[in-house]
Amino acid sequence: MSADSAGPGPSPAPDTSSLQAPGTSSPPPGLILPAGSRFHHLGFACRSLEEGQAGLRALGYAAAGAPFTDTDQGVSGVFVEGPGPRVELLAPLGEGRVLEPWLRGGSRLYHLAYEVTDFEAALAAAAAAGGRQTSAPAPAAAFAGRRIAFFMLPVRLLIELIEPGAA
Amino acid sequence: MSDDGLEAAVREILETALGTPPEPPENPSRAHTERWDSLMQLEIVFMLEERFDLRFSEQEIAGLDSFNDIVSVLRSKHVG
Repeated sequence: MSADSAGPGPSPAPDTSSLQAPGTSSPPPGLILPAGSRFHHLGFACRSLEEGQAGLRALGYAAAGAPFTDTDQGVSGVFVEGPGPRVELLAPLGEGRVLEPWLRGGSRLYHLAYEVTDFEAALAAAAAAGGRQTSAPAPAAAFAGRRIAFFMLPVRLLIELIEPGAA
Repeated sequence: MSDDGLEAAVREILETALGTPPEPPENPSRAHTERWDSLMQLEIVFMLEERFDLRFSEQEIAGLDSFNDIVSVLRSKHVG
């Protein structure tokens, strides 16, 4: 999900033929996602990865990558896939508190994540759309060091923007 | 908007967001309101921005930790 002190390495995220950085491709006016960007996963908060995996097993979901930990964000996670959108299960790690509002509030849907073709353009567009950045761009353990950033949109939807893969 | 009107509007937003009259009554604050967490802070910011048709800077948001803080920042932005 976020910063990875270990630096780039194998990605726990399933290989989804990651987008390649295409250069500049600013989003059309009023839109956040540059052309060619795509939905990557739905983030789902749970008390434990085991609990989350067990709960989604009934819907046909199974692990699609190795579990990972993100000490900066204070979460552990694992991607699961099934007959529906890819899901990133996230659970608190140690004293991590980032998921607590969702776990305590009863809404476990945490965020929608998009792999964008132009990370910087998407950051600017998200801010221009009134989004509030909730965490600064940082390398993510879940994506082998590619940067991610989170924005809360005025519609009260948290989105994650994922940097494209190296060209 | 009068000073009383501004304060009443801010109190109404805090009570709507937090669900119950926040504590302490004279100056509700994050320190005394468990539900006023980072997610709730964004909800309150959005509600204030929508109500008063303005946008807070990141620095201003970092200082919105109580009823008095909110009223003070709004006044600095010539609201009220």
